Amino acid sequence: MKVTVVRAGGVAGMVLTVEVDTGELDADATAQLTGLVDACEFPDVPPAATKGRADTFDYELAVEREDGAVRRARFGQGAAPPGADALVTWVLDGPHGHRRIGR
Amino acid sequence: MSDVSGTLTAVISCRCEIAPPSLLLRVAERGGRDARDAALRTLLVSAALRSRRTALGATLRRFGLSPADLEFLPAQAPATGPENTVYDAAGGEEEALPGRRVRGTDDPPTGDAAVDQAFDGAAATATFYREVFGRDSIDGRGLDLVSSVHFRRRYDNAFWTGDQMVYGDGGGGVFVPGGLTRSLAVIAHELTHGVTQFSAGLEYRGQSGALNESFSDVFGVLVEHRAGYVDAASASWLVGEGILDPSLGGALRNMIAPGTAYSGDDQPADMDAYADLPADDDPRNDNGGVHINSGIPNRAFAEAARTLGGRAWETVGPIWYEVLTGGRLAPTADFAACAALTVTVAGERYGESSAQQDAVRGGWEAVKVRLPADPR
Repeated sequence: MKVTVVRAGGVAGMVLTVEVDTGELDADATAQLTGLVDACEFPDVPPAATKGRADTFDYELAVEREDGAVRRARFGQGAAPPGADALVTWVLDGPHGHRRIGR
Repeated sequence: MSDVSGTLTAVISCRCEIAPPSLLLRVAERGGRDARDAALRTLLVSAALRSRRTALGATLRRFGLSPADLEFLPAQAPATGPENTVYDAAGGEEEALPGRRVRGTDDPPTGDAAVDQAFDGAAATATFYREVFGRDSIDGRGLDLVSSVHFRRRYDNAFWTGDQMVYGDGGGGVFVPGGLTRSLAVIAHELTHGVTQFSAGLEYRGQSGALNESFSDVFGVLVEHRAGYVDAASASWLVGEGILDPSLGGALRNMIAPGTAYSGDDQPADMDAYADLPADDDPRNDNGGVHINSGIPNRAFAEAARTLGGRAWETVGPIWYEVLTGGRLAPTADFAACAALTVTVAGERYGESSAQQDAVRGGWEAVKVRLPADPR
């Protein structure tokens, strides 16, 4: 399973992409990530839009399963669907991700 | 809120408080429609009377309102000036804002660098707008300055919520720890989003959004220039210098040479390289390039300021300020409309074919924004 978080905007206006692949994680980290993914909702209807607030962050969260199925959510800061904030924080702030700045 | 204002005004004249705020909040959240409206009106009025128009942020956010919805309330007495208050969010998120009050207008420094820098930066920005342009705080009507620091954990950002400033501690890989409050240009940039909100109201998408960003960069650096007595010729024209993680580069943006501030900086220097991005929900598209294409009007300003020399806040700054706040710039304005208005305002202030108007025209020509034909 591969989890990718794109964070863009902010006062810097930079695009940060962080990717975590369970193929590179130990069993504990894989269990943590799987639990967070299972607890995360990917609503068909996006959460209430927060677009238009200057310099807040916008996010894209994508989870690609081994069978190739991809679930994706896009949301603004403060409008994450249930479970998404915890998953995004684990990916962005944890030590497991491959980080890249750029569009 | 327009139908609310009459009732609120009536309640203001009554000046009665009939229930504690906690009870009113419960009624506002759980009561029927009429009870909810009445409780909300009473809450807002009692809060406004008790603590001025300031610390209403949390209440307003709760009901999807902004300080603009309180425009009908009397402006504060100019003699008092805005209160300047800093709160500690202690790592909390949006629902924790503003946090615990840690410094007020008349309080001494706290020793917490983030608190004291946010306090000083807000004060310097308000002083700039008052002394240079005669503007009474962010909204022109004495809106109190509210800042929250230590937002979330390792949060690499600062932003204006619509009624207050919020600063993270940085250290998340983009900003150095403490960098966001260390930069006066960043503080003034964010507070200028408030000025734009209360004046031109530029929509945060596409070219109007890029103008919104650019006005914040322009006045962000002008506040810094004035505080450091930096003239246009010797200015670096960097926004947020020295606060990025060193692995990324030296600054957030370079106004005179867009696209060179940090590794991966993709700001275009003129319209030939304009990034035509959709204003959709893909975060990579930056609301239609608001932080990308802002490099174009940024450079137009910096080029004009360099041509004229001297203090940019006294030369080109007043032209840009009149364009932003004078009521003629539409919320959906594009670069061409803004450029034409700056040329018009320069002519009004300094005369047609004046050196100032020529410099402004030259700035836009340098970035290849189409201007109305020069009548000469």
